[in-house]
Amino acid sequence: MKQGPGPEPEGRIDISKNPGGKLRVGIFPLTSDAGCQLEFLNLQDDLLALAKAVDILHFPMARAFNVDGPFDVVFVDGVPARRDELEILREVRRNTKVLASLGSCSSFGGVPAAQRFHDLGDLKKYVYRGMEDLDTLEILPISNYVRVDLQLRGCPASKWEIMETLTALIAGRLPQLKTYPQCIECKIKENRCLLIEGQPCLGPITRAGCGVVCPSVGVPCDGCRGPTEEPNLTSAVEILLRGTTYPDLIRKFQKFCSLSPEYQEMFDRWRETQ
Amino acid sequence: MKIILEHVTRIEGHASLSVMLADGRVHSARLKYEEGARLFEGILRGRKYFDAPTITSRICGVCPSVHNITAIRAMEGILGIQVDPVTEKLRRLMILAQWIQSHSLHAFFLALPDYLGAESAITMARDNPEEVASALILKKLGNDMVYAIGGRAVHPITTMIGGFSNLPPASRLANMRQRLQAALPEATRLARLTGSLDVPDFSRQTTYLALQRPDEYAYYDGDVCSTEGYCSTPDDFCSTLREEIKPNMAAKAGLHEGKGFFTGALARVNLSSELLDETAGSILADSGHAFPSNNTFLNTFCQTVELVHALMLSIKLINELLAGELEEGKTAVGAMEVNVAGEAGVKIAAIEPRAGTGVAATEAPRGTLYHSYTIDGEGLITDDNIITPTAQNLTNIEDDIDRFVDERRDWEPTDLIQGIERLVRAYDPCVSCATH
Repeated sequence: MKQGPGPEPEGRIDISKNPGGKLRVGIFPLTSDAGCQLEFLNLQDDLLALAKAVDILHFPMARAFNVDGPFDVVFVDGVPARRDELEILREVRRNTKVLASLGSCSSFGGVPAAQRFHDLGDLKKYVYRGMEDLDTLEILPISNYVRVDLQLRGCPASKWEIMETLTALIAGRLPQLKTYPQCIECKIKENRCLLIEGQPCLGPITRAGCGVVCPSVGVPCDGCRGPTEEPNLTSAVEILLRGTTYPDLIRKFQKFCSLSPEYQEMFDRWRETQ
Repeated sequence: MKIILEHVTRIEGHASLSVMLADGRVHSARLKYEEGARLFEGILRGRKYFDAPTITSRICGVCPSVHNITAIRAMEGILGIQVDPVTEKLRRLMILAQWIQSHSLHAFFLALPDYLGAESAITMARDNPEEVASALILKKLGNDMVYAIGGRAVHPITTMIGGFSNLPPASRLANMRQRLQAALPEATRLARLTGSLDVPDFSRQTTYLALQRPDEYAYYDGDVCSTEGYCSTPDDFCSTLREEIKPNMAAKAGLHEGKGFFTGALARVNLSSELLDETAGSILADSGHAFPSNNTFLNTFCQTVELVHALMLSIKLINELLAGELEEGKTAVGAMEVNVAGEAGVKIAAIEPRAGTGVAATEAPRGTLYHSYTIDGEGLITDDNIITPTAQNLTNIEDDIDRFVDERRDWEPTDLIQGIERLVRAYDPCVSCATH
């Protein structure tokens, strides 16, 4: 059984600041689409406003010269998909007080984790037609290799959560990341309920924090932020099946956060029926 | 012989240069895309046709809308779906928005610091605050346009097979138009500035490939044509393109008729410059650079010209939408969510999957992007191929590096390596796309 992202070990997080200086920030890319790094860049106005309090020391997508530490906080975007990326990850862990997974790839393995529903050899053969020596690594969340202090979920990660994390650490407190389901935010926004309309919306069992961007434009939640705390999957699946078929629903759960421990029992049962 | 490894910074994703030194001089250099294999084409198999647009969007965070819309159009081809003019115009706007965002990011934040002697846009902001401020406005505008239509800046939401789940209100488009108009002088100034910069004296004869249409500067559809007279449908081109497997690298290299070729802004300009918007065309003409050109370094300038072109074209499209078309617009019922019509519009018929193969091609910011899918009668994907611009360009980049090194053997290694990095950067490589 693969180990999913564990509980957030809040008690151990070292939020002490760099004495007298700015918050030393690093953004480290592993294999990814860089979308979460883009969301970071897209915070341009807010980052400029924080420029007096934040020093972005490592961000190879934006800078030519990058230092390797020490950092107060490092955001890791993406997932180790090659062995050498594990070394980068371990080194980063050694050089930072707080390590945050940035987005669903680093938090859960993300879309590429769906590799595990196939035979890796077959996949490589299909995509690279016979290249046997390609360095691949089983896609697993970074928490499988290093301690992760904060989990910023989503595909892409939420800009709100990035800002909350930065401002909290500047203030010397822990960021308040939401743990309740999407539905709460839909109610606040007075969105029409897609689930009641019979659409397979994963909102009730998916963690809030993105601003319910999908249901707000009439698209059911795809669960990219992973399960909320103690999701009632059995009853959720029952309701979801009013708007979709079982195979389509399973594929929906396999899309973004297929390594969530909460989903595994459902996948196991599905596999048995195949 | 000594080998040094250099990380190429200020590009999308990680790539390295392995440089061979002999007798204190650069002997040769090889570019390597240093990202792992996510095996997207493999994990798409066995999934439903409607998953392709949202999953392939995750190939790249810089050009997600282009992957998303290309996948949608390929699937619509298979399913025999024709979309209404409003849907097509909004999709076109999203592609142009992606150009605006991606070109301004690359040209001004990733490439321009090289020419202005800055380490990054952050240090550039100190010496060239006005330029950086303009560039920030443009990049933000591209993002906000994708957000206004697609529901999110990175990875659009409203785009669906058959149409949009939600149409932007007219007031939002009017606001976009106002910002586009306001940004025009900024873009023009930056494009003229980029055109005035000294680019390295470098020229190598190669083939340039891009989508082409007789009636417009192609970006949304068209035939695949080359500067050497080749022209065919994207479908035929995909079947003749060779993708060379590289040892231990998760990207394949493109070969057309056995040779490397260039795809991207420079190819588009080389093929269709006379179809550029008038303002953009005059910036090109006034620059003093002659086109068609074989100088790879001019790709960055061409991107800034396209930036102006994209602003002008976006304004035109919004004018047409606001002249009444938008009111006729329909929202799509999500492919699998067949029960409900969108709030704003008329219900579009539910989709019945049918077996078939479809190819779509779009001009992504970095060049022509191809998505090809085969689905079965149940709507499950059985076969797919995604050919990205950065993968296609790899052979050409290698040939360019060889020539560049060959012509500068007497240079100090540090200078030459920096030069090679600039050359690579001119392609605006996207390693995430290349490896996917």
